[in-house]
Amino acid sequence: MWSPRPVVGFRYWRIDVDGLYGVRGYRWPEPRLDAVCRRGIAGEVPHLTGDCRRPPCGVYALKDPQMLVTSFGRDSSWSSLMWLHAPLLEPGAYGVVELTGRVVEHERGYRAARASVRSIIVVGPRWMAHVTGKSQLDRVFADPFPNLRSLAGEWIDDLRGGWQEARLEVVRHLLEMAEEEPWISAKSSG
Amino acid sequence: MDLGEEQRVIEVEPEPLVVPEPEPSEPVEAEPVRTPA
Repeated sequence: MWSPRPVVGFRYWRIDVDGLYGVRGYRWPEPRLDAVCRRGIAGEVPHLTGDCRRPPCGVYALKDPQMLVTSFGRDSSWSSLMWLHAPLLEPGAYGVVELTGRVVEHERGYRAARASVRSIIVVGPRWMAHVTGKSQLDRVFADPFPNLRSLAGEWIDDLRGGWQEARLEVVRHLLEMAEEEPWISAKSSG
Repeated sequence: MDLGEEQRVIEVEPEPLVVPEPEPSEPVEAEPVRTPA
């Protein structure tokens, strides 16, 4: 099947002082990533499951943002009590990615040859920041912390409702950004 | 991350935006203005 439009999926990154890391610990130096098969198997990536050992190669993304927030980040390790003591815990980012090149569709997500980040929601201890636009995303992925507040298009402070409430906001943002036309987004954000 | 069973392969190649070049217009010769004698 061929498509002229990118496939849209959802991802999570852990944020450390020096950058954003995928679930398997690979740092994304910029908001774009090309898949590489680290087993050195020849042929176009991502390989089909039979050509590549598990987990098969490719840039991964989920289809459902609700599944993303319940699988990664706060929900997997945080309770409401932990949220109150959150300053000791590291923030994470939930994002919308555009997948291009060869995209292998699975039941719950995709493995792609290339991914490009359209937008992220950074969730910290009782705050949330929405970052979109190419130059803003480039700067956050290069060096997340110094400029996060100034680069965020929207900043929500003092999330007293805890993670249970915050995750609804994350899912709402992700769905909204997934529906947005990329050229409109690029035009409005510069 | 377990994505479940493989379903299909999609080849995504965005088409480049092609803007047609405008055709050169024919030069228009102005008619001489006749002034009454």
